[in-house]
Amino acid sequence: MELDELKSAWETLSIKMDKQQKLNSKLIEQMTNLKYKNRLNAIARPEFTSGIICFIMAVVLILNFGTFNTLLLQIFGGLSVLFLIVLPVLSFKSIQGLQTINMSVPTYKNTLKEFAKQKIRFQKLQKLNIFLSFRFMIVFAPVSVKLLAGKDISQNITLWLTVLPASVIVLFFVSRWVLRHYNNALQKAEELLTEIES
Amino acid sequence: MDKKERFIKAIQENEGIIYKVATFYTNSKDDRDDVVQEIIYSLWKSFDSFKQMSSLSTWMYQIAMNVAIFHLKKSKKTVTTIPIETGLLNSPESITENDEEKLKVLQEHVKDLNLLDKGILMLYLENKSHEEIAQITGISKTNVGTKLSRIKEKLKSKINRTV
Repeated sequence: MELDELKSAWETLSIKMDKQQKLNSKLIEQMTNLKYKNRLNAIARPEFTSGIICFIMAVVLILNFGTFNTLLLQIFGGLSVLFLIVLPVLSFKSIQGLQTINMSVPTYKNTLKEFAKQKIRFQKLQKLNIFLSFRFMIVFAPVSVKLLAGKDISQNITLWLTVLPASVIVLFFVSRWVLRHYNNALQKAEELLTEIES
Repeated sequence: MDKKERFIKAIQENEGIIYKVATFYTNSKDDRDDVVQEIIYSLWKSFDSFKQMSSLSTWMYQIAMNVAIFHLKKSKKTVTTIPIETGLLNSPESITENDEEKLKVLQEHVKDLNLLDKGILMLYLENKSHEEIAQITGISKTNVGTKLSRIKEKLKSKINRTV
């Protein structure tokens, strides 16, 4: 199909869509009301719920900090609290931009610029989030076992000799995949930004 | 006539623009319906900002295209919207299977274009002048000409590769 054929195909559709009358007053009014306004909140809700769960877990850890009777467990406990606060904050930040978008900016170019910047920011935050999540998994395991079962597995050399190398191997492959995925997306967004600004 | 009545009238007179932008930027009926709703909601929110410095259709293209870009980012998330009573492309008397087929081919060809090129191409297909394209996109008139030539080249080489 040549470009002219594409154009004529679009023109046929365009004429038909211009003629159609699908939107009645009631439907338009429905679309402008508050029910629809919550659309973005529907996206943010799961992030918000998991954030609350993380904060509750952080509070539980702080309240039970006395149970961590070795220095290693205390370090892991402290790091877990830090991760449980930082990870949801990063998630909130990555969706925060979406909720403050102003669609009435004067031109498509300006919106694209904003879009590309947000995309770059989002990809970077997601990358950071994934790397932190892996580190969180490693430090949170002994802390949760101590809290739930009362056992200190942080001093278990055999466990660390198996779990730690296995985690490093998994982390290596997942990180490689994640990096490739996010770097491609980042590169595209950066190229778009360069083209807009040129 | 109050604000809501003026808005409804404006939408009804220009609903083709909303559906066309939504169709151009999406690949499925569900996404299209989602974008149509989101465009109408954004138009309503921005209705006060329409100062009649540009034409109503130019303003509608601007908002609709802005919404479409951000929809791409959010489309992977599940959201609940009001179901639209009738689908856009399931009306046999207006849009034929052949039209749908051509639309799919068109979408296949434009999917690799970046968002700036995609927007320019859509306005070109809409028979907008270089001046109107410049006004809606915010790039200079000369730049519109240059970009259109590049887009045509890109599409031509893609079409040649697929033949």
